[in-house]
Order: sequence, then C-alpha cells, then structure tokens
Amino acid sequence: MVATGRTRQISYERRLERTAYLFLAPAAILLLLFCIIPLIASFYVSTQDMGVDLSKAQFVGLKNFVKSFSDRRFLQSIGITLRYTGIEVPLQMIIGVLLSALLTRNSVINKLFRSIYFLPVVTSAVTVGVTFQLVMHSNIGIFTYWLKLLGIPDANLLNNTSTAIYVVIFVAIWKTFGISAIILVSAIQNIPESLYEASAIDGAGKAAQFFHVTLPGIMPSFWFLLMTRIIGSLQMFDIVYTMTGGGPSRATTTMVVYIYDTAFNSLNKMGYATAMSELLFGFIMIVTIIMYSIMNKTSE
Amino acid sequence: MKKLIALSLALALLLALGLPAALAEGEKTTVVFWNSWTGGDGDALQALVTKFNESQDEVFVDMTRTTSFGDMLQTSLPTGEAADLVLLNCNDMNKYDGYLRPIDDIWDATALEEADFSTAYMDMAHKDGALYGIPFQISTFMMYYNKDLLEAAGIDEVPTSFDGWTEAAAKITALSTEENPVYGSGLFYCYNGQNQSVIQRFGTDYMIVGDEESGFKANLLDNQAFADAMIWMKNLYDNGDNPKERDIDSMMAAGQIGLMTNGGWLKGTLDASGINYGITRLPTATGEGLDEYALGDLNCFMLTTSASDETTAAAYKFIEWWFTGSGLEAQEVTQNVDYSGITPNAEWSISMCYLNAYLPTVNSTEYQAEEILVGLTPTETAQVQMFSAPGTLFWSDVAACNADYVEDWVFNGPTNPTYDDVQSFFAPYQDDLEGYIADYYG
Amino acid sequence: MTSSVQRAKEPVNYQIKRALKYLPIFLVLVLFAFLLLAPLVWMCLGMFKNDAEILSYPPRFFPTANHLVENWRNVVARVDMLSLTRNTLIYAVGTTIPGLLVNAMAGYAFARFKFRGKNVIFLIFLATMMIPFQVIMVPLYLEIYYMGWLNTFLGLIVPKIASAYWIFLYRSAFHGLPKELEDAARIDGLGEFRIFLQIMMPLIKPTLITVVLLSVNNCWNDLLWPLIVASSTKMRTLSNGLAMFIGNRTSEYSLAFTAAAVSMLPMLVLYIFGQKYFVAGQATSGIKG
Repeated sequence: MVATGRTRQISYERRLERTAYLFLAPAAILLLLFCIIPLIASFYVSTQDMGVDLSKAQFVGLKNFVKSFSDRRFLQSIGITLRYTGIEVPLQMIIGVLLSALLTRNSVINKLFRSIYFLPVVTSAVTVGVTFQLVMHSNIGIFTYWLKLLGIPDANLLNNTSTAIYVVIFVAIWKTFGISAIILVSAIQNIPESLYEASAIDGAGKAAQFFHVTLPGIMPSFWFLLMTRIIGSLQMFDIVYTMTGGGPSRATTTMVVYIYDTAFNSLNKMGYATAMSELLFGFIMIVTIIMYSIMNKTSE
Repeated sequence: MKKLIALSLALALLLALGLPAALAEGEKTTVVFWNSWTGGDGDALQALVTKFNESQDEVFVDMTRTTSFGDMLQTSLPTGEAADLVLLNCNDMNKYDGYLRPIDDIWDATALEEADFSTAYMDMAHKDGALYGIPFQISTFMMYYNKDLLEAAGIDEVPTSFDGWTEAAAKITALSTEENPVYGSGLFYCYNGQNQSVIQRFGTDYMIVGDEESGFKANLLDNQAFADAMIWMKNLYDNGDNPKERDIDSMMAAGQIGLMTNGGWLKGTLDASGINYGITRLPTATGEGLDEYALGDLNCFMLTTSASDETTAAAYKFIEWWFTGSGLEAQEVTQNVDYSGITPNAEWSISMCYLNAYLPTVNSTEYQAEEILVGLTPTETAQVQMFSAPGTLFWSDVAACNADYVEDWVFNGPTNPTYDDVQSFFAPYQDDLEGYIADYYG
Repeated sequence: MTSSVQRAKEPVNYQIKRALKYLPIFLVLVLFAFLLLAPLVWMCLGMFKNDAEILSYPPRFFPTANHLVENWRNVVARVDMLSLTRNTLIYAVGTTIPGLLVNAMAGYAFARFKFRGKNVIFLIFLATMMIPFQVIMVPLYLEIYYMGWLNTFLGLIVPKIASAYWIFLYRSAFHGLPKELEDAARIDGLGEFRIFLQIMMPLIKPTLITVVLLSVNNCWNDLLWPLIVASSTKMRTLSNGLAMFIGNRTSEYSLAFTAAAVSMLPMLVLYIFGQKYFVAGQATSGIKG
C-alpha cells in the first residue's frame, strides 16, 4: 500500500518533470541554435588575432584578455558604464514603481497618461539621437532657448565632459521608461482584486495597501525589471552612439561603444573586441547570479 | 485575443502574397551595389544610378545605402553573399584584404584607360601591384564662409592664413547679440576629418610619416607646425570665437557661423537653408601655397569577391558609364551649372566641389570653369590624403587617435598653451601611435 | 432639514477634498508627461517644417508654414513606404505570434514546475541576453548562411522568436498566480498543456498584451538584424528606409522626421488598441470570489 503510493508519487513527479522539459524544448532549441552556438563561437574568436578575413586568424591564447587590463580606454569605459548603470537603474526603477502605482486604475485620464508615457518607446534610436542633438543643441536647440528665456543662459549640457553622461541617462530613461511603466502596470493588474478587498476589510489605507499588497504582488516583475535594466544598462550602446558618439572626450564612451569601435573601425581587432565583450559578459553573469540568488531567497 | 491573432496572421499573409515586390527587372544582369552615402548626397547618387538603369537594358544596378554599411560587409563577405560593387575608402583595402577582387582587366573590358587617371590617386588604388579600385570621389575639405557675416564685420578679403582666420573670427564674434549669437569660427571638436583638414594645412605632414621599406614614424612631437596648429585651435575655443558644439553644420545653416571647414556634402543643407555662403580653399599657415595640396579621403569603386564574372562585367559597364556616359539632364540637387552633355562623374564632382582624379573630366571646360577645383588639382608629390601616409595598414586607428587627442585637448588642455605644453600633452598620443606601428609592423 | 442639507453638501465637499488630494499627483503626472512629450512633439512637428525652419534661430516650436505635403512627396519619392511597411509587418507579426507561445511555455515551465537543473538552465537562458549582439553577429550570420536562409523571411524571423527577455517576463507573470488553480484543473483531469493554454494563459492577459506591444515594437525599430540577414532591396524594413535620411555627414531633418512620425503611427494605434485589454481585476474574478 505504502510502497505503491510512493511509486505513484514519484511517477507523478517524473511526469511533471517531463512535461516541464517538453514545455522548455521549443525555446531551448531555438536559443541553443541561434544564441548559444554563436556565443560559443565567439569564445573561440576571443583567442584569435583576427580581422574581417576569418581564414587569416592567428591563435594568440589569452593575450587579448591580458591586453585589456592595461588599455586605459577600456578601463575608462568600465568606469563610465558603472556610473551610468548606478544612476540610471535606480532612477528608472523608483520613477517606474511610483508612477505605475499612480496609473493602475483604468480611468480615462490614466489611459491618456499611460499612452503619453509609452510614446517615446516607439521611436527608433536613430531618430532619438538626432532629435535630442537638435533639441539640446548649445545654440539653436529649443530646450537651450527655453532655458535662456527662463534666465539660464549658455546651457551646453551635451558638450561638457561632466554633464553629457546625465543627458544620456535622461534620454535613456525617457526612451525606456514607458516599458518599465507598462510592465509594472500589467503586474499590478495581475494582482487579484480580492487581496485588496481583504486588506481594506482589515482597515488598511491606500499607503498601507501599496506597501503590503501592491509591492509584494509585483515583486517578481520588479526583479525582472531590475535585472533586465541592469543587464541592459551595462550594455548601453544605441543612444550614446547616435547622440554623442561617445564624446565629448570619451566622457560617454561606454564599454559596448568602445568594443564596437574596436571591432568595426579597426583592422585586426575583432579578436580583441570579442575578448573585451567576454569580460563584460563574465561581469554581467556574476552580477546576475548574485541577483538571481537574492531573488530566489526573497520570493521563497 | 484569438481574433486578434487570426486577424494579424491573415493580414500578414495577405500582404505577403498579394503585393509581390517586382524589383529585379527581366533579362538584366543585376549588380548589387552597397555604400554608406546616406543623406542628401546619397539621393543625388541614387538619382544618377537610376539614370544609368534607364539608359540601357543590359544591367540593373540595385543600390542600397545604409549607415550600417561596415556591419553588412563584415558579416557577408566571408560567405560570398556581399554586394558585387561597393564604395570604399581606399585605406580600407587593407581591412577587407582577401575579399576584394583585382580589377586590372577593367582596362581591356572597357574604353577606360589607366593613363586617364591621376597617378597620385591611382597609386592609392593599387595594392601589391594589383588594381583594386577606380576613384569615385575625393571628399575634399574646403573653407565655407558666410558672406553676410563677413561683410557685416567689415572683412573684405576671405582669410588665406590661419592668423587671418583668428582675426576674422574675433571680428565676426563681436557682432554677436543677445538675440542672435554668432561665432566667427566653426571647428567641430568631434569631427576628425575636419580637424585634420586644417591641422595638416599648417604643414604638419601626416600623423604617421614614412613608408613600409624605411619604416613608419609617429609625427606629433618635435613638430612646430603641429604645435602651432594645436595652439591656434585651442585659442579659438578659449577666446569664445569657436563654440564647443558637436553639430556646427546646423549652426552654419542657421547663419551663426562665419568660417568653417567641411566637404561638399554640406552644400545641400546650406542651399536649403537659404544663407548666403561661399566656398574657397582652406588657409595655410603663411597664407601662401594655397594650391599645394587638397585634403580629403579617396573613395573608390571596388568589387568584392562576391561578384561573379558576369556581375563584374556588368559592374564595369556601370563604372564606364560613370566616367563616359552622357545624356544627363540637370539634376535638381545641383545648382547653377548646365549639366546637359557632361558625364556623371563630372556632374558629381563639380556639383559637390570634389576634386577629380579623371583627367578628361579635369580638362573639360565645365571643370576648368571651377576656379577652386582647378587650382587644387594635385601634383604627384602632393599630400593626397589625411591622417597617415598612404599605404599604412592602420589608417583607421590613426584617424581615431586624432579624434581622441583633439577632444582631449579642447576639453582638458591648458589655456594659453605653449609649445612645451603641446609636447607634454601629446606625449601619450605619440606613444599610442608608436604602439600601433609596433603592433602592425613590429 | 439641517441634516438633509448637510447630506447634500457632503459629497461635494468630499469631491473637492479628493480633487485637492489628487492635485499634487496630477501635477507630477503632468510634469512627467511634459518632459516625455515635448521632444517628441517637437520631432513630429518637424514634418510640417522644411530644413531651413528646423535649423533657424531663434528656434520655434510650432511650424510657421505647412510643408507636410512637400515632405511626404519627397519621402515616397525616395523610399517605397508600402513595401517597407509590408516587410516590417511580416517581420513583426511573424516574430511575435509564434514567440508568444514558445516563450510563454518556457516561462511557464520555469514558474510552475520543479525539475532538475532548473536554476542552471534558467541562468543559461539568461546568459543569452548578456552578450552584446554585435559579438555574436558574425557567427550567427554564418549559421543562417549555411542553413540557406539568407534573404528569406525564415532567416529573418526564426532566430528572433525565442527570447530570454520574454521568457523571464512570463516567468515573473506566472509566478504570481495562485497554486490552487492548476491543482483544481488537474483534479478535473485536464492535461498539462490544456491547463497552460486554457487556464493559465488567459490569467496573464495584461502581460500578454505587453509582450505583443513590446515585441512588435522591437521588430519595428530593429535596424541591424534585418539589414544583415536580409540585405536585398526588396526585403528592406521601415527603420532601414528611415535611417537613409540621416547620414554621417549630412541629414535631411524634415524628411527624417516625416518618415519617423509616419512609421510611428501604426505603433501608436496598436498601443491605444492594446490599452483596451488592460482590465484590472477581471483576470482573477472567477477564482476566489
């Protein structure tokens, strides 16, 4: 009796396990084919001295990795990337959580605000870069002109080594904030209404509900956003590339911008560029594993 | 939800089946042509390509212009799926070494003759004795000036020396008012081509001098002309006569810049803006020898290894037409010259104010009527390109180094710099350049 | 009598009070809306201006004359907007719809099942997000080439279907659902796939809508991938057509802004349409009530 019950239990778990693998299979096969295999190939590239012509590659072992540690531009780009991530991610998360909490109800006015906040998401990075270059232009920019009318003359934020990075941060939040907002709004809307009703019966106010129902309810999505924002910020590329080109004087040259320049504007540096991105990859991986284990602990 | 999915699937299917794109034309051989000429000059180029496609019924040139040109080439060359024909800076021959098709047989296959091309440029289109490119465009840098601003500042003669540039810039900047700020000088700190076009006119020579046999040498230190150029530049920024701004073109178009350096691609924007501008040769340090050399990079028609014999032959036809074709009508994008009867090559070069390497064009009456171009057409010994001596493997690294040090200097260099400041400031960059030489040739 | 008057007054007072309480929130929302909207509106107004007006000084926010017709004519004369839109639509829909199922299944497995190697597999999935695309670009291209998929919609779409980003998002969405739901369904004898498709999927409708919106939008603005795997002229997508007006050396702002504004429109319609499907609370109404 007991024995059969146990085998049934095991076979049931086995069956569920098999189902899980079946559910994973399509995505796993596609990711294996189109992400992981190329990823492994790129590990090979990072040990080569290689340009465009793949047949002329020369094996150099770990030389590319060693070189990067004495490359002052690479080291500078690490600092810039960390600073960018350290400011952009917390700002984006705080604004995202607060505003999405304010916008959850499906009133007409909230729908209008949500549409407005989402609008910049649909723009392409190329247009965004050009638009902000013109809007923030030190002389003919409309933003600069408005500041002048408000009594703040000679604002030249984009062409200043200490402020340019903040413009990039602003534009990055401007462009992606709508994504954070709708993901959080949808997460809040996934929370069962009954939880709010229950807490209302317990006499909880709006603020208490926010901290005791809303926040715990959106925790999985909050972690998702936090992790993907960090991963994305460490790979910051497009807005910098189209708006500042990494300048002035490399003040906005993030790691990926530097890697990209090395790979595509130089002769034999595909291998070196790949080695640097493996280092970036390794760093992101470590950050992610740490965050993943924290996430698992908090959600249990 | 299901309805939404079904609807969008049906729509996609309908569009996929219902609207087949029929671009490749019947019996014609299609030549796939990629380049990075986006923006206004790309439109002018596309217009000429269309003219070619309509002018005959054997070849169809399918042109794609894109800002991701390098990415496209880099991925597709190894598989042989790249474009047949590309426009490349001749210094990139080294980068795409192994994927470019030697085209020495173009002289037999077409009516073009090697002797008709300026040897100074033809040398740059060769590598190891084989021909890889036919000169398409020499992206010549010129001085642009705002006639109205010069007049308002009481400047009768356009400056011919860099000291003159500084003086004129101060006078023009003095016209600035609260309502309409203007600047006499318009150097872009972030644009290496522009900066080098003035730096090299100080007589600095290339940043990397020498040749493969006797060895290359970095040329930033112990170089009086280079120090003069950097001091001149820094003072313009520090005096407030030159704005610290990435986008000077737009300010020029808004009528806020007196003097600047740029290439012919700016003309379209300025024409559209309606400002009253002129173009002339860039100054030199002494105000003499203005014709000595013109600076700009040479871009060539090149064929890739993705081209078959058939598409190569077809591409040759297009190149031949580029230099000898006729039947053009005046293009909308060009101004004040009657182009009927001149070749596409001549039209391109005259309308954009680019030097030409094709001697029949150079000798044509239309080209000869363009004073600036005629004066500048280089001798065999003149400096024909920027940044590094022709033949250096790492031209793009040198160009990137230029952008680095100019920005660093403009933002972090000392005010009122001296010759010694220049020496100490640029020592690390000299080391970088020496490092490249060691990397590539060591 | 007094009491009835007070009664009539109270709701009004209450309303004013509530409005006053809401005012600071409203002002914050308006401020953000202004910051987000101003550059965008300025860009869209660019389609009514010509280049001279965009680059004039002092800068003007609103156009003084209408150049829209002229700009639009120039745009369609240079690029085939119809074919660009068609290709973009096929790319976007072809990637999003199969992706909806494939990614949701994987996210569901991570959220609702226990299996060996779960953490490791999840981290490997995540790892695919961590390497800049430019680095795997060349190997990926070679692979598509060997499969004979270059310049086909298959080559364009299939590699983009599975995405760790969406899998992660689905995992978060499924994670929050109560466990009793599937247990009840299992007792009812439903198969695992039907539980997933008929019970669980409808419960995360807000997330599904979000994914559709963002995924379509990603394809809509994707620049590099369509260009390298589908480089032929007839496969070109909107964002690539648009990028042609913005060059390294010369830009035609009025045309770029016109094309950008027009190519944004479908996304805007999709978003407003999609908003209808965000309905709070509805998802869980049948469970605990």
